[in-house]
Amino acid sequence: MNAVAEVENTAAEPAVPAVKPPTVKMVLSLTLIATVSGILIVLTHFLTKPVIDENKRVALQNSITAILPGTVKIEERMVLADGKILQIDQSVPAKGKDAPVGVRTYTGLDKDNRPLGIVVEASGTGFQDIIAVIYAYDPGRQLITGMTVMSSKETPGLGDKIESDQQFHANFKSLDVRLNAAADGLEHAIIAVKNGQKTNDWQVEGITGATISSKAVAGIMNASTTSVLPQIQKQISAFGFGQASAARDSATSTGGGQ
Amino acid sequence: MAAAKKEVQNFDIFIKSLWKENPVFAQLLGLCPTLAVSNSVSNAIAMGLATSFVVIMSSFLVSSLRKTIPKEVRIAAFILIIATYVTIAEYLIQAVSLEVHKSLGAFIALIVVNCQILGRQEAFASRNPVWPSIVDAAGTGSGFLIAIVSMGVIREVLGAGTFMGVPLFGPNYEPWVIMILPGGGFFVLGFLLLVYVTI
Repeated sequence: MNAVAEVENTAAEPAVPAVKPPTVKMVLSLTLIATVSGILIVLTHFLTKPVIDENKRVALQNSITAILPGTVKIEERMVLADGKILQIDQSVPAKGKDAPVGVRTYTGLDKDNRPLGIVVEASGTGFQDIIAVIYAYDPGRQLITGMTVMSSKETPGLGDKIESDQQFHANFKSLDVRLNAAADGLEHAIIAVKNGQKTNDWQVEGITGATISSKAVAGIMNASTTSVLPQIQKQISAFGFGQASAARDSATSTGGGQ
Repeated sequence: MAAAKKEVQNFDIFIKSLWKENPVFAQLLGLCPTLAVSNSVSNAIAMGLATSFVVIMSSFLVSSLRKTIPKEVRIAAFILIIATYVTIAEYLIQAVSLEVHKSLGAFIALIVVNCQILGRQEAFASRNPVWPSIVDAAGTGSGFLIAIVSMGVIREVLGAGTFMGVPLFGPNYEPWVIMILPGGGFFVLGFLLLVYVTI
């Protein structure tokens, strides 16, 4: 019966006189609560930060390894707006005014430290909201060898098929993205075609019932490859390819290597 | 004798918050997250647990401080406390699973404005001792968990043909897609309300 007695007591309290003390008490109590809250939040932040950072690192590693099998080590580089390549390590700030802005790429290295390919981040407008993808680029053969949707808000059951549809993803197992003669764009732009009408390796066959989302992905890939791949190819040695890559390709063609 | 009576009383408080005053079915509070996050069972469980954590911890702190919070600023104080625990819950969810954090998205932060929690502070925690407040909060949290998970089960099984991501029916099953869209959420909620009122 304590609960009931407590409630009755609160109701029977005399009215508070409208003078100064209540203001001081109000400010003090809110300050006290705010201080305690602040301490709790900061404590939790610092306690969970290492775990969260590790989770993010593992998630990124998993998604890169999934489209670039055999990856053991990842080197992060950024293609800046002016075309320069910036190597990203612990010393480069991730956020804030000094953080570099550009396209993130991850070069996957196998256990012998040979580069397997470059994973590029790209994003653009989908049917509902932004679609973010990563794709694996083979600079030697000038092909896209895989694509994964990292985040999308497409319609469940319809547009979100771009995330899991096997046939759609087969488009990106060897998508032709060779550069044109001037090496400043693609020889053939990546375009979406209707389901069943794919004739060339640079076409993306859409998903029936998810035309707009499929077209959006093709558009995102086209925009990204057109602007980023020429920069990558121009400075391919900065990514660890070049002599090593030529040696690897010849090793592969004689049956050795991977 | 008094201790046994208190035990029974506390249990009554728990059952009352869980069923008779179920936050979703009886009080019709917190319908936004109930509708939005019940499109799959794992999301529903995560949301229910996160909300339960926030309401229990907030009730504990509010009840402990109930004699020091002046009446005039009580709502501001409650919101401050609730917001703190929601922030903590968000860090904890990220630490446990980034996947779940991504699925719940903005709805974790929206737990702050869930009327169930503020309602509990105002109606119970600010006027009662600590342990009964915790018990009451646990009842509310469990009631919400039961409500949102039952919606999640119906919507995921019918709308996607899976349970916790595991496909239940063969590949020829044509899912009733509207069930995982907002419209389906309303239908299922209405249906469950009908069931609750009839029981």
